[in-house]
Amino acid sequence: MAVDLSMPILVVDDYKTMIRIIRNLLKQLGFSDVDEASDGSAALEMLKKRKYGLVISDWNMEPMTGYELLKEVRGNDQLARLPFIMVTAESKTENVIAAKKAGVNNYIVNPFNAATLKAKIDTVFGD
Amino acid sequence: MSRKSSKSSIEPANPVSLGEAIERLRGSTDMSAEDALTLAEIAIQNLAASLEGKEATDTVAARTIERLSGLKHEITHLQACEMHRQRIPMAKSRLRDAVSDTEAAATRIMECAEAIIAADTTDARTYQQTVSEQVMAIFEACAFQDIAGQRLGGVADALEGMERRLGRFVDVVGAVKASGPADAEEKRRENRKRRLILNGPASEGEGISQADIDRVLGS
Repeated sequence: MAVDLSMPILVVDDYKTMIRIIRNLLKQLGFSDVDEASDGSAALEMLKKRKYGLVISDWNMEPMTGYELLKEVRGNDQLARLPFIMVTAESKTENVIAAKKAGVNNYIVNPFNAATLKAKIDTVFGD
Repeated sequence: MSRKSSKSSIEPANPVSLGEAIERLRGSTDMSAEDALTLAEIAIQNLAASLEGKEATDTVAARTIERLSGLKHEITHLQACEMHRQRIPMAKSRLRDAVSDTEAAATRIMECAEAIIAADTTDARTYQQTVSEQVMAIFEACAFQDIAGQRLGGVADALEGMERRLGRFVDVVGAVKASGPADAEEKRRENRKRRLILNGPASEGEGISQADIDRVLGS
């Protein structure tokens, strides 16, 4: 599956700076349609209203974490197959295993660079 | 009598009977820990006096009074009020300022980078000038590190001071090792952290690398 550069991407993070960094990196990688949400519950509402091609989410947010969002997405028939990448500073093995069990497509530990983001997106879309 | 008072209203150095001490405290609605310790000292002095002549009683009473006096001394030197009212709020304020400094700097640096990316490249001279100006602004924004470093250094100093005082207090009172949340709110936050696996950023040398994560995921 080739990566569709026009697909809408939802970036979920409670830090505006981090959203801006990811948005800029995605722009440099050729993605132009990027929306943002400040936590899992806001993201869930947006996912129900628009068809996104990819979710890039932080883990540690309030009130709903990225981990809870991932489980909500996988438990929803309409969203269950939506590609989901976790981008987070949570780098304990238990986090990665829990995310894997919950159905995450890829996991990027922060700090990261553009090449890592590109490689993980390519992997998720089988490029 | 208030808990905020650093001095007890009853003084064992000027002995009073247990009855008098109780009478003085009778009207109090908020007995301080120091009052309670002083009352215990007087009670023991009274008890020892009534059992005068019994060597074991004298020895135990003397040791207990010494221990209670030491405890009062340490409570005073802990300066919990000063920690609670000044040092901890100051540390919190400096941490918030440091977060704000780093956020402002990151935003400024990104604005510069975005300006460079968006700059018109058709006129080489104008483009060079834009890049030069933005790079200078990036250097200026990096000065946050010095200010944030000083703020964080102040927090580390304050924490060290509190650590010393608490360490001394723990040694003197022979505090029993206790763990677990201090109140309902702390318990709620700890439960949430455990349930949602919120470990926070790993310290240097802890946590796993991107390569290890890739191996776990098989990606």
